[in-house]
Amino acid sequence: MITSVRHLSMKFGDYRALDDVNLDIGEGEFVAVLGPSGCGKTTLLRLLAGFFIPSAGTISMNGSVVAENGYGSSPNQRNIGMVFQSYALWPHMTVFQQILFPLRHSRIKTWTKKDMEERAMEMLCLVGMGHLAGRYPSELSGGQRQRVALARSLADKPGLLLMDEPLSNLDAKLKIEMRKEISRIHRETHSSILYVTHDQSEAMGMADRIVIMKDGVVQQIGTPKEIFSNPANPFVAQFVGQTNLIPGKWQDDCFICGKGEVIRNRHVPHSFHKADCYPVKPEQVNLVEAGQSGLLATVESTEYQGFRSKILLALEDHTVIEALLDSRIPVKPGQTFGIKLETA
Amino acid sequence: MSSMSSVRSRRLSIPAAGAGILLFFVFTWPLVYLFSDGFKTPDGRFTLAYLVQLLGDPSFYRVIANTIIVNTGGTLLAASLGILFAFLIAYTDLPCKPLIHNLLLVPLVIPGYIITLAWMQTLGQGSLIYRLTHFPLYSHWGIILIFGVCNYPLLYLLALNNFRKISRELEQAATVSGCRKWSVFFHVTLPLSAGILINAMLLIFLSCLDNFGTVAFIGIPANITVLSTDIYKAVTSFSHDSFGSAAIRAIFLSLIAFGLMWASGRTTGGLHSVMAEKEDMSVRCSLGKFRIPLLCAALLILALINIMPLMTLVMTSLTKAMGVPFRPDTVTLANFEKIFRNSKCLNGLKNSLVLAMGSVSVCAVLGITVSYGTLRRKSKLCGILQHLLTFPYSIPGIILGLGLILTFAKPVFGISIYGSIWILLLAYIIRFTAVILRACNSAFATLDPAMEEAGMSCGAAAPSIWKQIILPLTSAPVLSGMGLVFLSSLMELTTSSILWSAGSETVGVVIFNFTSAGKTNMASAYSTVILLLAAIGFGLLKLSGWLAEWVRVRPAVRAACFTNERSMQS
Repeated sequence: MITSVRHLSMKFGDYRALDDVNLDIGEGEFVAVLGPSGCGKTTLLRLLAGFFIPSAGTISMNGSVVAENGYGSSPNQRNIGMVFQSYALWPHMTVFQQILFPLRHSRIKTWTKKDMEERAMEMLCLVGMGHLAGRYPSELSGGQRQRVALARSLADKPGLLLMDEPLSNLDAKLKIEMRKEISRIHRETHSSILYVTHDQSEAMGMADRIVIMKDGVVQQIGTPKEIFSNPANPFVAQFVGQTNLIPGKWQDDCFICGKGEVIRNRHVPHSFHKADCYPVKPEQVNLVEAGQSGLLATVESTEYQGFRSKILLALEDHTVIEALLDSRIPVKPGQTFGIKLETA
Repeated sequence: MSSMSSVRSRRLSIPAAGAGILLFFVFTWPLVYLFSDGFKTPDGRFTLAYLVQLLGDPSFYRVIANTIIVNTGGTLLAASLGILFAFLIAYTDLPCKPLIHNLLLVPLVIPGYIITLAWMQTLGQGSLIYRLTHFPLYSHWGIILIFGVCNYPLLYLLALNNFRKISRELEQAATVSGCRKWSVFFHVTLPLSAGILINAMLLIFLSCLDNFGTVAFIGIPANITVLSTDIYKAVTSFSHDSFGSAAIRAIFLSLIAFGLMWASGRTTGGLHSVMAEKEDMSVRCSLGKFRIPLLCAALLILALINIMPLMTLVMTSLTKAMGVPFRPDTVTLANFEKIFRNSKCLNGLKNSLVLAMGSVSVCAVLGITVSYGTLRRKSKLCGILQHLLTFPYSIPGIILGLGLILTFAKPVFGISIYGSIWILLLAYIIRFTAVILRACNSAFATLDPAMEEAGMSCGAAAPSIWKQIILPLTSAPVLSGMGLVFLSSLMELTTSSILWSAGSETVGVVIFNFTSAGKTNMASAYSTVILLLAAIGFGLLKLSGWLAEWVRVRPAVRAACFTNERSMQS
């Protein structure tokens, strides 16, 4: 199913939670919405689910409008599935009953009893929970609950699967494991997925495309690679790429910083020009003798990380930047270096 | 555009607004009417005559003094019993705690007037206990004793919960600072619970103010009149100004009640920051060699205040007449036979059952709707209704009854419900909706909204979501609220005592009339039957609970079998 969002806005009283969002989710596409808390990502998800009605704009699924201008169809009429942050498994139903529930209330067809039971079992086997069908949620571990929630949301073959920070309640090891599982299930079922998260490694690792949001506004939409290597603005650069922003002045294609250090780069987006800064990744920062560069920095601290060391450097205007250097280069806090920036 | 069929909007629908206005009138009008009647002559002109008359009447000040003496005494007795037992159960290693805990809660399920009736026989002239102690039951002391034993469970429960939540480290900090064990209790535990305890005591005072059975059974023969019996006397005096003078007395009583409610609202809160989230059930105070003696003492006290009176009640019901000693050869079932032949007794039971079922159904619908509307839909109308429906709960029942009489004495919109069973139903609904409303509020507050949203995202519409998700998940607290309302309606006496009429007697009224007429044996037998029926009902409820559990587990077994089948095939 193809989902299109056009000029979508949501207001709560005077507060603009979402402002003019445009987005298309293609057939079988995995789209992650990434942003800090309060950026409107959950609002977007709940608008798509139908729990909120948009203040303006339209949402259409497979060409038919499901929400528009203050009206919207209710969630049970939309062809969606949803995985909740708290999993929202019903404590009074067994695992098997949880999976049967969406089949009993199916939006796509009337299932026969036998088909329902087979489909439910198939879903449980898909998530590797076939042997625990008779259990109640209270008898399951966090990861198992997650799997049941996933099977339940996929049982009725939804056109769009919505996932609301599904991994945030798991410990680090389970997170990695479930990430692989979700990717595998996505490959096997070819479902379209909208995945909301504040964890950039989740978004980077799983999604076909990422939507970066801040204060209800979409900052950039692109593949993980595009977003990492070509951030559209300083916010994306810092939020996703751990990018340093060197303060300075732009003159056309030239960036001037420190005591007259000039960097020529035509590919930096205009938003950096406006913000008077230059984006540079920690691995693009090179240290040279103090006299060889107009940009001087003092080493604040070093952190040994194996092959490389993370160096925190204070520029002359006290901006702190990060550099990743070969651990064999001897660097000590208090030393002053010149800085050369790579422009690859 | 076909899927745009459902349009959800927040606008207030006309039926909802109409229902809101109706509820507003039903729940507040009787009180407004009552307050205005205190200042109106029978032909409708404004007058201060009743007020002047009342303030100039020295007997009214005696009534106030009596009320304050018995209520304060009863509250203090209840508080001492409640705190003592709460401490023993919460902190010590007393054996048999569950047994003692359950015995302590007995007065919660037995109406006060039946307890009073039981004590009347336990401490009546000629009884063993009377000969041993010469305790004057028909005096202020008697009323205080019964107020105490009827009301301590409320304070016990609140104190127990609060004591357990006090962080253990606060007490350990005091011990480390050199404080002795008992000192810790008085310097740390009690002050930390002060807010809750004072609040509970105010509520007990309020409940004593509301009480009618005890002060009528004991106070009237002893010539001790308190506010509620004073109003009852004024209403039933049938003089030309009886309603006016009753109304002005009722205004005094309700002012006191409102004052207490206001005070109790101010005492809660504060201090909560130091409370632990969970109850700490571990032993904090080891009794050592006093364990067994203390257990015996506790059981003795409980036997004395909770078991013996009820046993005496049953024994009285089995003897022919008041004063006849209970011996194998004096045992008779004649009282029970008379009861089952007496049409008033049977009618009373029938009426009470019908009223209880009716009030439970209406209260449940009102409570669930308003609570869901406030907590989930954030409806403003329901928010207002919340206050409206909880407010009559704090008003003494006798005042509500009086207000209803005054409102419905003349037909309203051509409908006359005064003198019929309907006015009782209305009274019970007004009194008890708050109970279910509170139960629903806590149920919905703890139910994760994602439970319903998950249902919607799975394609289920509102009816299925209610049937398959909301009701099963909230049934325990909502059903216990409904059970409480059923029991309270079944046993209600205070409002019924002034609202009943020939043909619409209730259980409480029948017992009240037997007792007032001196037919204590009949009253005891009838009370025994009612208590037995209540016990059987309770047993059936438990049984149905188990059955429901069994039915719930079956699908799980089936799913497990299905799994095995599949794994065998593959």
